[in-house]
Amino acid sequence: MSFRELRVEDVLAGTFLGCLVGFVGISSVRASLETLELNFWDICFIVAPAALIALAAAIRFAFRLEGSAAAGPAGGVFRILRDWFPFAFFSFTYEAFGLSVWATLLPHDRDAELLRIDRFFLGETPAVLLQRLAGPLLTDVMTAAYFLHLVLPPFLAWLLYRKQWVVFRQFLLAVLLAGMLGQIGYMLVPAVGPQRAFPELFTTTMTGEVYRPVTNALEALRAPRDVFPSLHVGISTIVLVFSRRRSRRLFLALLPLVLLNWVSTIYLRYHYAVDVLAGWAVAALAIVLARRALQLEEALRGRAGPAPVTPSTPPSPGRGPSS
Amino acid sequence: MRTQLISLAVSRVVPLVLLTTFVLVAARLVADRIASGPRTNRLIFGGLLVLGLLLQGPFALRSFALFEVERAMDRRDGEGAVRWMESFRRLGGRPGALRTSRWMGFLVSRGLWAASRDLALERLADSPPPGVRQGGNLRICLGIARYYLGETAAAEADLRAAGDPDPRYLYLARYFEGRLAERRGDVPGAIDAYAASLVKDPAFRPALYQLVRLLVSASGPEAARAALSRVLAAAPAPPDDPIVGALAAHLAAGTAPPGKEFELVLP
Repeated sequence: MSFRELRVEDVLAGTFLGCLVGFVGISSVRASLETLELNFWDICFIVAPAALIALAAAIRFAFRLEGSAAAGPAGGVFRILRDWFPFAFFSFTYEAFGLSVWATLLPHDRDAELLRIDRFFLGETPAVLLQRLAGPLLTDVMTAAYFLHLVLPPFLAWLLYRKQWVVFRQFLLAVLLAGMLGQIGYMLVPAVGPQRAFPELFTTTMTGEVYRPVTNALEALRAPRDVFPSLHVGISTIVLVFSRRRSRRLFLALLPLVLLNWVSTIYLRYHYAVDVLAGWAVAALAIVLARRALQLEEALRGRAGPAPVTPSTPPSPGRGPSS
Repeated sequence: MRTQLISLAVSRVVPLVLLTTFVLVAARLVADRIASGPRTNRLIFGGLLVLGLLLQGPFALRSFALFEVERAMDRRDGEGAVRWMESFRRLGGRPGALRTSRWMGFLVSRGLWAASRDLALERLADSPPPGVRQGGNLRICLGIARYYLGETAAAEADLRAAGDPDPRYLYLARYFEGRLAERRGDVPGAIDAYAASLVKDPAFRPALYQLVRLLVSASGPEAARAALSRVLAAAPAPPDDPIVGALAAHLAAGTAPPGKEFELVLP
């Protein structure tokens, strides 16, 4: 791969990985991989669409089916994996936050400050206010909505990848940037959320058929301090914004799901209201930065002349760039 | 199907899909590069494809064994889980730190002491990666398994050697040190160990039971009553707590509670 084929995502991922290894050390990254053993499934879940698209391309290429030759070297398989790489990388860096070494940077949790901000503006943190509505059915609905953060991004990415490759890249880059901004927030404002930090504020226990198994599985994945900002809110906001660029109908279909997802972060007692606001801010910043970064990449490429391999379409027949 | 099974299936099927993708691409690229005619091309492609898929066999089989372990654990079938854990290891699988911890928790909680001892010994034979605090917890679990197997000296050595464990396991280590001290006839040592266990987790009722039982015999009901009140102040009991209820009844009657072995569910 030549320098001109480098993408913004490659530079960001390389820089972030370099900082990660520099800060926590290679041995800790290895330890992080070890702890991924049981938490590996979320990365697999997120890259599953890419794996299936790549398998389909590989079958076309291996059995010389129609269109595979036009898709590029190796039937475009490696390009598909590279296109989707930011998703896998984002998940990996999130998992790396499970390492206790991060707590050495700023060891004191900031839950008290976050609660104070909520109380200053709202009188009480909304998670406490919402417990009056808690019931098994609503808890199950909220749990399902909370789980959507693993479903909506790969679903939208898959839709965009089929028809709007440029938008797909902007979307994934925005997700990657939001992840990085969010992880900086986790480091600077470490907090564990109202449920863990202030159990005494809650007089009701949440129950539900879906609630316990799903939250247990998600709790196992959670980094210990992943509260400020809410990346659930940040990434689902990015999903909503980019779904509008796909179609108005998709936007309207996703809108209630995303709204429920936002409410679920508070209802399930994972976040303070200020985390949600920060999540929206991170999403806005990530979308702007992604657009700027891709413009910068285009400008640099234009200055350097055309790259040797610059198809701006995904490796499948019949797809063209449209944004 | 439980979330644990779904997440395991996802985490094994997606790598298999990716491996198959690479096998298909590699077989096609190699066949096109080295074959001179269409027949040779087909033969080389087919051979490489079959070889590549066969090479994935062990991973696929280990995945199946892992899935069966989880399924057996899900339906609380201890014997089935042990059988599939052995199959997984025979197929070359090596459970990592978290999975070992999960399996140990299940085996100890089901009272499968020999299987949990063998699993811990196998895992401890591997050097853990730096940064993974697994050795201490495993040593404690190994000590517990050996305690129940009657391997007293080895159990004591394991509990003593458990350096840097997860703090959640310390109350268990102290508790079993107390049980082992009792086996040696060291009542003061046992009382200290149970008290230390309750300092780590005041809500751990087995330690409270053994402490009160020994204090009644060693120092009289008053001392036992004082200890009970102290612990309950730190970890209040619900009105229907059977262990606290039994202790209170014995203390009211001025009798020592009988010796009792508790079944454990590990955190």
